[in-house]
Amino acid sequence: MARKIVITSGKGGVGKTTVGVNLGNELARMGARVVLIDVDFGLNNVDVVMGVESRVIYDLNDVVIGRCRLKQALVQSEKNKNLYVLPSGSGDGTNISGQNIKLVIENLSQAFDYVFIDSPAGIDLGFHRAVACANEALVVTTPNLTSLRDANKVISILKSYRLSQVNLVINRARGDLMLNDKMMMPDDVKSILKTDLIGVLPEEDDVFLSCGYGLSKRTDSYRAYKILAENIHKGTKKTFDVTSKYVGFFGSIRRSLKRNI
Amino acid sequence: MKRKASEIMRVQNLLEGDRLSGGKEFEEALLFDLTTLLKDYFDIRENIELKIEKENKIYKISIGFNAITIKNFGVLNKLNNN
Repeated sequence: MARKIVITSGKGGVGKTTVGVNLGNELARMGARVVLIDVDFGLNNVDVVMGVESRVIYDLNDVVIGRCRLKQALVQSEKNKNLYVLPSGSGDGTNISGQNIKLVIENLSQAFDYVFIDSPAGIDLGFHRAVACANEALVVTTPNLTSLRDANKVISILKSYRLSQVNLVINRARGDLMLNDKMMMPDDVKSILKTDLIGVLPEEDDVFLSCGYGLSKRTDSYRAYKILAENIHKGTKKTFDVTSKYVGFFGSIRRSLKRNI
Repeated sequence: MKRKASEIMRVQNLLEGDRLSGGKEFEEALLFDLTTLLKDYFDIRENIELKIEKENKIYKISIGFNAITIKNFGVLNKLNNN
């Protein structure tokens, strides 16, 4: 049976979808069978971030109303044969209940190792619909005030769902700003939100530019996602050190250059 | 204070306010009700101070004010239940 993990954040734009796709990619590369379900009706983007939007014929909405079989709606990644997406479609999803989605996920759990549920932003119906189908949660946040506040609210709400695990992922971490004392360190965020930290992902142009094409293996982001995937798959407790390339003599030069650009 | 330290303090205050279900509005409503009640007993000319602090999961509430006089009023004897 699959691990059903909802990816949520509260605040929009922190990188839920990007984290879900890149993490899914990495787990699939390790040999796990992974499916990403987009339950962000109307503002769906998982298929775009995966680069398969032109191959979407059916979506979750079509599965629920019986227009197609579940297997017909799954789109396989071209670069990674273990990775699939079930897109949500561009309707508003008002005719889709939490029970509908739960049934679809139960069906998928038989054939996959991981089911990632990409939750919409906010804490309204769409969020609850997504969380109700999961038994674990990944809360994605960035180390700034508004994102932390919303993540805190989401974590409080998740407690009432009694999920087996709620873990934190810090996205868009800037090692240079952390060393210049202008951004919170991962440990600060962890102690503020009082939640286990499972991943730290650096802010990098490659993540933005690789949308649909996959991360380059030479980037820090690739390494960080690899560590995150290992933590989830094997239960290890490492996190990527975003400050490592900004320490020492050459590190201080890099920091100075970043400050001046 | 360095920016990061002040940012951390700001986040902690914000989250604490959120945990006080209602935050600032809660304190304002409580203060309004307390003032109305206390003015029935005392002649108060200044603002009443209200402080809500949380320590080790316990809330410590302090109310402070100055009164000119204590208002006169009689108290009915408790009715016997015989």
